[in-house]
Amino acid sequence: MPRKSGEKAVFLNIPYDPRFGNLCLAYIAGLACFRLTPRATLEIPGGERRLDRIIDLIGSCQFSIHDLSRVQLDRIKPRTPRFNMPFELGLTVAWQRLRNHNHSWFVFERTPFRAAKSLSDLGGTDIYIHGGTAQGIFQQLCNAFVNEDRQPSVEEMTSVYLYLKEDLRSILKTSRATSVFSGARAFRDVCVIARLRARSRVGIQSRQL
Amino acid sequence: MRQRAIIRHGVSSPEEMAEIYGIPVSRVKTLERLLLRLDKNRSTKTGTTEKNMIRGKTGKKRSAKKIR
Repeated sequence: MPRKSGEKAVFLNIPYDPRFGNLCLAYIAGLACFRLTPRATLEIPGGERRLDRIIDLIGSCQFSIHDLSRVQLDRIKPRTPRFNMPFELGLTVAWQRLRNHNHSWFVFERTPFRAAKSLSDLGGTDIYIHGGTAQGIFQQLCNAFVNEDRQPSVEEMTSVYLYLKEDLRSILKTSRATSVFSGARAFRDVCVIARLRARSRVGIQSRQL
Repeated sequence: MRQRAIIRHGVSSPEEMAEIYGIPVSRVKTLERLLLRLDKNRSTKTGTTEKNMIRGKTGKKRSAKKIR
């Protein structure tokens, strides 16, 4: 939960999967360029029940992004689909409808029409299709956050993302982490570095190129 | 000049960053130093210029001699 007043947080409901690492970096870089603070359940210290932590986190964020692109059967037997992301989307919708009408939630997907097929209750909701690429995520973030004061370009977001990707190993080395999903500290360090990088990149790049 | 002024306004101090992310100020300063070190290494060791980095081109350019 961002402590500074006026700072907007975004609840990131994404799969914590190494294969999703680059797309996670894209989300972090893109949101940093919008001066938004990404939040994820993995950065909250344990103790409380996981579900309580998720609900608290959703409640503390003004926006939420739900990426349903990895709702698929896993490889480990018995093969089961990942229900976490749709479940947390359901929690958020309930939260927005019943408690906080100012909360805005966005559904991101990789493939067009898949969400409509697998989750027909979302009929009439705009699904942001990113195609499984960082560029697609940046384009869709621009569409989702079109009402925000700061409107970074896709090039600016790409720049921050490329820096982040190249520096990731060095950033994770400071906390002996292996991926951005390794834990609270790794995730937060990457978010802070993205914000620091965006601070110097957004708004000035157009002058340099 | 006006654009520059707006950009400066958007800059967060380490204290503000620490407040936003709920981490100690010292950690933000450490990460800032790390960033500076990485930038320094990037320009001197890998030969990647700022302009190329933005365009997504990293790594040292091969010399004409090596290509031959």
